[in-house]
Amino acid sequence: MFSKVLVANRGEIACRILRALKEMDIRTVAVYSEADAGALHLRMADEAVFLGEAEPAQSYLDMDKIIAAARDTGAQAIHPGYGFLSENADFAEKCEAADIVFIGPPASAIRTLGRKTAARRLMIQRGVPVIPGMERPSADPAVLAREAGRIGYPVLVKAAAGGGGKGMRVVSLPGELAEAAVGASAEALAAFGDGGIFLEKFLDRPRHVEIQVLCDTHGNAVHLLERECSIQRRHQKIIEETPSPALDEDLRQQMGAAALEAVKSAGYVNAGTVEFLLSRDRHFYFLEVNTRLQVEHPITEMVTGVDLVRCQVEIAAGLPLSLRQEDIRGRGHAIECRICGEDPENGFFPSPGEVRFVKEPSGPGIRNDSGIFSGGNVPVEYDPLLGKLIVWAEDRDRAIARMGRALSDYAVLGVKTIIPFLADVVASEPFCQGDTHTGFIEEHFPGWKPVRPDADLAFLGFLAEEFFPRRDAPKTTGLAAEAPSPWLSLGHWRL
Amino acid sequence: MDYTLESRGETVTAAAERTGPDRFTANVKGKDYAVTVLRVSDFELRLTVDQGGEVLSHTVFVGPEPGGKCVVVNGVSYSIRDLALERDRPGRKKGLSEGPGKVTPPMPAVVKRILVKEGDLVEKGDPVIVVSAMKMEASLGAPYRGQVEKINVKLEDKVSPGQILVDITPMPEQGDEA
Repeated sequence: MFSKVLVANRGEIACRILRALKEMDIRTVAVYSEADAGALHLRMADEAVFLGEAEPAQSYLDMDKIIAAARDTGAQAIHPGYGFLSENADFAEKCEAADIVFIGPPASAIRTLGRKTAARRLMIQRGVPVIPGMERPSADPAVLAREAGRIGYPVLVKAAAGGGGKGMRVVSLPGELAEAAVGASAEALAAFGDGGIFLEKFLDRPRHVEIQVLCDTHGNAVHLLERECSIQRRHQKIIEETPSPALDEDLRQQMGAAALEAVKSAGYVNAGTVEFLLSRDRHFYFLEVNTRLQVEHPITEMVTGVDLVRCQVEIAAGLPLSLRQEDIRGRGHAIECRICGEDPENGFFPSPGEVRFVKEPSGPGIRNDSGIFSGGNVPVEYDPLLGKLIVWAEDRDRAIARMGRALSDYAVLGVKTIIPFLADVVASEPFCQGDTHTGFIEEHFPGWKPVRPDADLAFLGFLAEEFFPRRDAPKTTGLAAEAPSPWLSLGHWRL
Repeated sequence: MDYTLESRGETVTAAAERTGPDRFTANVKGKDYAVTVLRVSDFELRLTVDQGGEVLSHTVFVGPEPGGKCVVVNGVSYSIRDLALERDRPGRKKGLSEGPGKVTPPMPAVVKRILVKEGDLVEKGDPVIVVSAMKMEASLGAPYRGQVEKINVKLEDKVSPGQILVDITPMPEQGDEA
């Protein structure tokens, strides 16, 4: 087992990984940028190495600096988390060349599965169902038009080199195709440095269902059931749950088997997730493989009792999986809400700044994977995921009730969060019915504005603070510069 | 004491009085309340509210934010300003205006592109500067027709709401007489 591991990430996921390493008695190294000098993750590690300026390219994406940090501190392995360098095959190779273990799959698997069209071809070869579509990217309008005719409208234009909704367009009519292709290609070029696009059949209101897998270096592979991640805002997942309301045991087994086939075909090792779309008529189609730990991994941990980060470290250290497929059973229901630092009252604009105060909910079946703390700072340079709220309960109805209660107990002052939006979604009738699909937010919450049921109470809270301010409250009347006076302790005076 | 409070477009007149070392009464939107306040911590208050004989307790979180306070109730945050306080406050520093008539970012951001130079003429709405925050870009437009007098920032500067990034001298609209 490793004696020291470096975590090449920040925020909530760095904290999550550091916790697992500490439990395994492994010494830890955190890395941080200028903007994260006061961050939580580096205070959770035994050592912290400064990387450079806040810009990711100067810090969390700087492969040489990170490897140098590992070498200088004697770390034997690097856990890349998610995002940043976690799916960067070059980085995995550089680690190997520096004799440092990359906690993740081999570079070859990252390459094979990272390129969407190549991954599709591999799946077709192995009999994993794929969405009808093009095998190779093309910019030729004639080719695109012919393929769209073969696939059948409506079609989806997608970027070959990346995801997250960038370079995606839905085309319902042949006349719209050419322009959509040009726009999507430009967007893809800007986001991934590669303007390659291809077409797929557009499915109507599918569910996004993914399967967690673990593969060791001894030829063992298991799947850890599914996660449904259909609740997405602008192609970003915000609520995930397991089990999926749409799966029965039969479908689960089929999808699990397909997922294992998908990763084995690429020589996969360590944790990964195979994403599928499940159509309304219950056919599943391969979407892509995420060759890393996912944001939403905690819900799988809650229902299976497996510590996925720990498994990742053990696999990377060469240990065989101690889990067998028949050992893996799901119990109860888990839901995760992503607490994003965006202002739902202002077009979900990012809301960076100082977190004046945060109080997270707690109690049985409540898990907080958070990267923020009272007095901490949310920098502008990184994505706005402040933390994750995960609940577990015996069944879906209770999990929904528990999540609703937990969200209403969550308090964040100083930055805005999407908590009110999450609460409305979780309380909604279609969500309670399990009627979820990737167009859920557009269908049920277009142009959502927060409901403000407690405005009167909020005004009373304002007045309470006016009359009984906290000790170090700045005075708004400009008298702060004067010597302390008994008049000030009486609260604000006005005539 | 009368308060004129505003929150998300709703303006409310509240008449409130301290009635003891831990209590006050208030009339908000025509309803009478008697409130006992327990301060749990710097940011958490427990309010016991008597409204017409019905007594209920609630936890609220209150903290300062630019221009007023933020109150979180049941997970929802309410930004509330005291309009009277803003009117009365003496010597407001230039640059702290929240009016729309300034080239200022809506949130802390980084200057990415400066689209004008000193001396340029701009029309109302012309984009003058592009800022970036959390991987999103926003372009800020000229609040009125005028001439760019001074650019107060350079590329990669960190800027905050309230800070004036570009000084523009207003010019009369075409066709206006003096």
